[in-house]
Amino acid sequence: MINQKDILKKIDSLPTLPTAVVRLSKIVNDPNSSISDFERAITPDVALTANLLKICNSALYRRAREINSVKHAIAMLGIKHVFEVAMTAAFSKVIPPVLVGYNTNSKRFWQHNLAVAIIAEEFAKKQEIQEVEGVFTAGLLHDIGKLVISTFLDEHNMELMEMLPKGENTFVKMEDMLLGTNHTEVGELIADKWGLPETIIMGARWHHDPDSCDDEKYQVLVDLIHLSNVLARSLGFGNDVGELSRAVKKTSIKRLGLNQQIIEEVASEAATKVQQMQGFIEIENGGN
Amino acid sequence: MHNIVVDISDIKVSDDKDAILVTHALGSCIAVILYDPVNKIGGMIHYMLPLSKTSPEKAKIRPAMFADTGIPLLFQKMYKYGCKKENLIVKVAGGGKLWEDKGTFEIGKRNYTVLRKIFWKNSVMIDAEDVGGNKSRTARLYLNDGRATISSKGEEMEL
Repeated sequence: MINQKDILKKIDSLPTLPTAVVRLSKIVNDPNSSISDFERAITPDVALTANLLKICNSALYRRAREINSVKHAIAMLGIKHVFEVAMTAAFSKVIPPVLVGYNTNSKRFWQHNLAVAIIAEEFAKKQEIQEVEGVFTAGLLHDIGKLVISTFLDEHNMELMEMLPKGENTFVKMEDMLLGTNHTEVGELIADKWGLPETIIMGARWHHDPDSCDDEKYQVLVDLIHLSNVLARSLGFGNDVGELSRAVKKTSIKRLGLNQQIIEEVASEAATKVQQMQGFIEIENGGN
Repeated sequence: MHNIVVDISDIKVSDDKDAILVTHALGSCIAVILYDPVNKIGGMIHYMLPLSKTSPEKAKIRPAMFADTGIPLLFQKMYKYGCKKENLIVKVAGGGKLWEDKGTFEIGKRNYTVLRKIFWKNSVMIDAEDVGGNKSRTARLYLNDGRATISSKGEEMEL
């Protein structure tokens, strides 16, 4: 079992997201903010701006003209999309080369997060869920708790290796049994400490236990992240030590009105996008 | 020996005897692994979904995404290399399932059912298989001797 103090210490030692991107998330969620507020928040961060423009100009977006400024990017792609690209660029920089406790590396971890973000958006589009904001970024950051839990989990590697083949518990339950906490509880702490919006906090906290989501306002978002997470696992996007020991909640399927056909259509649509997008975002220190 | 990686929704066929065909993270997806021991030619598909009617558009661009368009294509590619159907050793891996998955998310089971139907119709026999379970698998085919292995949950076994 690990104590709260050790977790908090580890959270403090994580590289944080650039302050610019945290400010952007507040601006995007504030109905009174303007495009120039957004532009003013991002341009002082030269590295982030450069990264953002690089992705905007990649073959992923296939623009006829080169995008040469944040203002131009907003005009071409819209503020919501530019924020998502900025968050993607920022998050890709804080992932360590290896997540030893999960027996995975930055490349596979990144692929999983990206897949969840893209699948969640596809589900939302398919089901015409328009009222939910921040689905992409909540998907992208749903597993941030693993950045901290990984080290602690590695200390229990032997026990974990004994538990896994038995197939008696889901992986998140194994984390609870070994550590007294899990990556969703810690994910909530990190998201809160980094000052991230409520959508990301809720996605990180409840993506394995959507029925316990305590705020009705975020239920649809949490269901989307939960089902996108299990679908990404099922399709093999970003495998880790837990393999397929993840539970699907029928209640979420019901609430979103999904069926087999919709799930397979979304899988086919999202898979191509995941494979395209991961190629355009460099993961430093990554590689299989 | 060097690896030739078969991505998700991808087919690779090779006659390079120093190569290993490898595909990672087979969850509910399925790999069909073919080997011609006479000519030492190997082929592998990693398909994701059972039927191309899910997205005929995607099936046109990436036929290997679906069992019904991808599996016949894999066999055709092997024949183009001069392989004969009667010589082919056929192995199957993947089709895993999520926890307590008994319905909507059973992509692995449907992937396997469609494969069996295609094989039944075309009189193809499976020589070895490792399918189902809460497993994610890595499949390898060694082209020098036709050995196929499956790695999962930290262990490697020969198929």
